[in-house]
Amino acid sequence: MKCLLPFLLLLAIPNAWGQTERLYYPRQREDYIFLQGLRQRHLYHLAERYCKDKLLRDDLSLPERAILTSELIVTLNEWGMETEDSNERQSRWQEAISVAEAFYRRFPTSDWRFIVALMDLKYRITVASAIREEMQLGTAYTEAISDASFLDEIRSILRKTINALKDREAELQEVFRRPKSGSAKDDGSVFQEQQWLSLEKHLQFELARGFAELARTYPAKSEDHTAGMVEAARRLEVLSQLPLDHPLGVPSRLALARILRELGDGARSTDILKGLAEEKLSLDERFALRVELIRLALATQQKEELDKLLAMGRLIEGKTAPQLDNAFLEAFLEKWKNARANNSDEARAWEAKIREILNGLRQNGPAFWARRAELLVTQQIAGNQVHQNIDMNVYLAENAYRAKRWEEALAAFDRARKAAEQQGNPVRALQLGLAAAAIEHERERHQEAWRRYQDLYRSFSDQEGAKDAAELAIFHVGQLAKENPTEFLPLYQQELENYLRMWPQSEFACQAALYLGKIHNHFGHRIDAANYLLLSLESWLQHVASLEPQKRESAPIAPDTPSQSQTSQYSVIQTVSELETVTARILQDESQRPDTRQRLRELAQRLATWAKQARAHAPEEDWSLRVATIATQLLLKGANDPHSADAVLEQFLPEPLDTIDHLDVTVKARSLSLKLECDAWLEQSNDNAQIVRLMREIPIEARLTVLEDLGTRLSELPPQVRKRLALSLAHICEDLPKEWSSVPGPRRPQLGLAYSYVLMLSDNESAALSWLRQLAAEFPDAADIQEEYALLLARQDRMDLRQEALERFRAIAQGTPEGSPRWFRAKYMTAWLLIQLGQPERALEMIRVLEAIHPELGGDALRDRFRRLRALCENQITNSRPTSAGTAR
Amino acid sequence: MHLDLPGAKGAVTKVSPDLQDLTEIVIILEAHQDTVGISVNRRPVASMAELRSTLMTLGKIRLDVPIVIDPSPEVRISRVIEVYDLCREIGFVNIQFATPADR
Repeated sequence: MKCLLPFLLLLAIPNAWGQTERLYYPRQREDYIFLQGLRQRHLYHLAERYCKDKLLRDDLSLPERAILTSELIVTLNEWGMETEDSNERQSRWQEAISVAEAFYRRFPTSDWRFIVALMDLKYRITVASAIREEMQLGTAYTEAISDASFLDEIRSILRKTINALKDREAELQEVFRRPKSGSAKDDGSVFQEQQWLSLEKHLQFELARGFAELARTYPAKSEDHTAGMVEAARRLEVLSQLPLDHPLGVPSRLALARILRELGDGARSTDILKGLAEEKLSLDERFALRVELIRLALATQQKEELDKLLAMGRLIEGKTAPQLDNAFLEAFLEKWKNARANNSDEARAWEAKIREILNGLRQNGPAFWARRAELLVTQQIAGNQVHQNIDMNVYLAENAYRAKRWEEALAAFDRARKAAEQQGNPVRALQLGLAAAAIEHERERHQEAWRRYQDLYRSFSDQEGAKDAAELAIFHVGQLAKENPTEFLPLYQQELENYLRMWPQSEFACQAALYLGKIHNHFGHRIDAANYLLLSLESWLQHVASLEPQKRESAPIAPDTPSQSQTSQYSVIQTVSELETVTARILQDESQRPDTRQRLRELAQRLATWAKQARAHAPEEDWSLRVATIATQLLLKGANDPHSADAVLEQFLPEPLDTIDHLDVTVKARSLSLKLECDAWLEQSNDNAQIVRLMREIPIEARLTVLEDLGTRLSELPPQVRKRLALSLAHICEDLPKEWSSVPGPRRPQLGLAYSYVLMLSDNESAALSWLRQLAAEFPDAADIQEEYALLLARQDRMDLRQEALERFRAIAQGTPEGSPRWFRAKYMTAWLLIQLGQPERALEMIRVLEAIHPELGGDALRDRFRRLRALCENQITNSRPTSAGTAR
Repeated sequence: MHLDLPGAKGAVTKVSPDLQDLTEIVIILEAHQDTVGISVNRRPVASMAELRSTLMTLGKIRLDVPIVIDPSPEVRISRVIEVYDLCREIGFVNIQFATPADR
């Protein structure tokens, strides 16, 4: 027990959070030095691991276990202090408390639990103090501290800690009252009287700290503040009588001096501090003394004394300490503030010094002190109405940003922006606003980012950077629209429209118009969609054309050429494809609407204009012909104007036509088939043979697409046009029966039918009949094919074929839901064929029964035909003579 | 054969070739709370009087047109007999009842 006398955690100096120097048994001293080294290097996880691994051992003596437990408590608490993330901090501090409590539970009557308890409670005060300081520095300066609810929680912690310390104090008194026993073991597990006395002093010291800290949670000079400080001072007055070489001698005096300063008794505080001769103090004590002297000079406004202290510099024996750096920072801030108030040029010099300290702390100092320093500067700037200083706010914002204290960074950037606006510097204000918005952008807080960028481009619309802000606003509201289209798609659309209105010539305009086109298409506004898609192409061309010649050389003419410019991400071909799809839907669904025709004609004219410009700009691309075919289709099918359609197409078809070979096969097939269609309308046949020949050279796959499109539309065309086209198509697809096996199964029914129409309309009925016979055998369940084949059979003069037709219509009627249009058609054809086959009575009976149970007879058109057929039957029966009147479909 | 018509859950005997083009008459009876819903080939008939009129029309064309009466199980037997008697009264000779397919 020889070494145990000063065994306790002896406060060498009340530095950062009361870091302690401990004297242990010689064999633990090495552990302590090792752990302290780890903590100083911020290797907290290793220190924690070391303690925890050792504590798992069963052969530890009680003192060893208590000391390691204490070290673990210190490690976890200091680690928490250094941690930025508040959740992690909380969890480390909480674990430190749990470690202590586990020790109390395991050794409830051991003397050593006092040591662990003292360490635990001491750090609770330290942690509470650190949180209070950070919160008070971070709290809005307008808010009265006494009203701040967060302080209630800290008070609660401190009160519980003070009570726990008092309980230990009472237990100690109980120990002192116990009769002295001479038989105490001397193995270190039981304390001796001197040890208890030393422990009692440390308890008094921690109680004083606890009361002082509790007092600091109240406004200065309030009743609670004064009462707590007086109680702390009372306890420290006794301890400060200890000799200076006692472990608590200097700390008690420094703590008392601070309390007296805070109570406004600068004179007594000065006396105490002057009693501490630096040369007799340890290095840590010297730093602590210097800190207190600076604060005292600040509090008592002793300018000369303060200058003298500052002139001594931040180094003592070639070393710095973060506590002293912070005290210097407080002094520099005060000087800076005064200089600004006096409009002195010195302000910049003080700013530089402030930055120097902040930078140093951020680079080298413990995170806790760096954070505290930044908070202090922030509070000074915000709280002293000096937030007009753009540079300082930016500096703070950048520091906060680097430390990932986003809200603080945003607030500082906002203050800086406001200051720049007030100082009439919109360029800087926009830059600062963009910096703040970029933080939200980085955090992927789309709504906040969108609002900020929106505010910026609206507020600074005449500034160069406003366009960038608008593009970023679009990006963020676009992300929101992805997640929640109902709420944000209309807002996204609005942003795009705003953008196009404000920067129609910009590089991004083509993208904005493209997105608008897609949105309108999504909502089914296809003509608007087509207009925007075309606007997108126009904007792109306009932008590329506006580039300087050198730039244009490297401009993204090829749609997928990588480039840093935004247009490089823009694909002309993709937009043209979108336009093809949208216009195809318009022609399919809307072209018959009377109000559409004129709009389609206008669209076609713009498309033709674009195609001309595109050809001039990029003659090697096929964009112009592709867009011209869209215009041609709109004029031909939407505006019913084959002359204009042909005129547009003629301009873009290659000359001579044979050179079309180099084009993409789809473009080639589409443009040639359109030319055929125009020629059919205009009764032109000069190029027909050449077009058919060129089309025959196209692979069957592409020709089938033409057949699908044109073949199925033939019936909608006027008879002469239909016939001309059918004749051409029959030639173009002559090899279809031979190539039939290569046609994919799912496409066969529709293609087969389209080909049968082509054959029928080109007056090749026998080929059509045999083709349909083959199809009907291949697709016995395809009602369309069965019906078409039966109809063609019915049209034949041969009785056996008509009989076959009759059987097929009976089968169709039987396999079709009663009352459906096909069922009625099959019934009609059955009756018609019965007449043709000389059985008008049966036909009549059939129609009458049908009429009795389905009086509507399949709707207006078919009902009339049924009735005519019925009249015919009645006539034939009456006259008893055969007739060939009546028509198959 | 199985009746391939909505509401026809039963089976009837084969129709003769000379009747095959005549649409088979399917009278469906369904219980609607306290009343009975009647439809002829899926076309609702408002009353027994309207059913009589339709059947009279059909009877004037042919009395051997196949008629299938398809009552749902909830319909009271007296109503089924009423419809059957109506068909007989008009003179139809080819009246059958749809038999549930799973019997």
